[in-house]
Amino acid sequence: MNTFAKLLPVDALSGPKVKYYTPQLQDEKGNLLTPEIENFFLRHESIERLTDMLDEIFVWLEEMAFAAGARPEFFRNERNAGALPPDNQQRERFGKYLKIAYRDQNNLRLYVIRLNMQVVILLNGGEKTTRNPENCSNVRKHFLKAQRIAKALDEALNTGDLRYNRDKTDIVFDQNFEFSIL
Amino acid sequence: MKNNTVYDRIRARIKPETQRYVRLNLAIAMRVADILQTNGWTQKDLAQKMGKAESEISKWLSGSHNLTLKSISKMETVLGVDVLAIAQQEEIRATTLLIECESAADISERQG
Repeated sequence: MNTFAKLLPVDALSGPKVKYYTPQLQDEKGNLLTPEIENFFLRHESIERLTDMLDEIFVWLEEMAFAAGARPEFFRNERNAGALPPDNQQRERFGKYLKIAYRDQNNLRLYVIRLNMQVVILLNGGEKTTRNPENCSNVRKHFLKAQRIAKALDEALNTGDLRYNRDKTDIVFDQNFEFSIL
Repeated sequence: MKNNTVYDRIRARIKPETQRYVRLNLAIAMRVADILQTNGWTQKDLAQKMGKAESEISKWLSGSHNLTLKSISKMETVLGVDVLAIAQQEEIRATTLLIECESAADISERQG
């Protein structure tokens, strides 16, 4: 299936330290779907047992945007993409101190693509129930989609369809820019 | 109109303690990280200077452990800086930035 997507700024979460963007996919008829990050929050906002985990991720996004910046140690490696919250190995490797900003148990995964300290692409996610995301019915499709989007954006950066601004604090792209997710 | 997006709804419902918990912990974490980096210390160095096991310090700085005033005071003494006060300043600065940006967005919304 060949799906096209646009990239939208997420002004509601962005701040002086981090600019967030999110893909907006089209269905097979070309209709625009709910932007990925909005879909993530909409699907989980009313699930009571996930409330604290979701709210923590939300606060964390704002903290990065307004205070901390998108430090690499804040993200979990998910093959070619990333996710929040980071795993223990990342905490050990990059900054043991960061563990304190998280609850011990947070199985909610928000997949992201961290382009640099100032620019992060927010994707979608879910409650991970298995060690391998590809075996989890909740996150499998979001994990795989994150890989495809990462590849597509990497190609767009290589071709120049997507560029960094002069001081790399933001990305620049044509208003009609869209990318294909194979 | 305010409070009409999922972001507004979540922002409005976030418990003050969750926000403070993340902000303050992050501010302390960043502050301690900066101090360690400035001093060229590792977490192991900090543990040694405090006469504690590294695992103990790691536990102190983890979400599974409530830092007591006594622990913070001891850390401040070894590091030679006021960790908590500076962390709170960072928290206030972040809050102020957030309020400023929200005000700017409100103005922009009204004008738009």
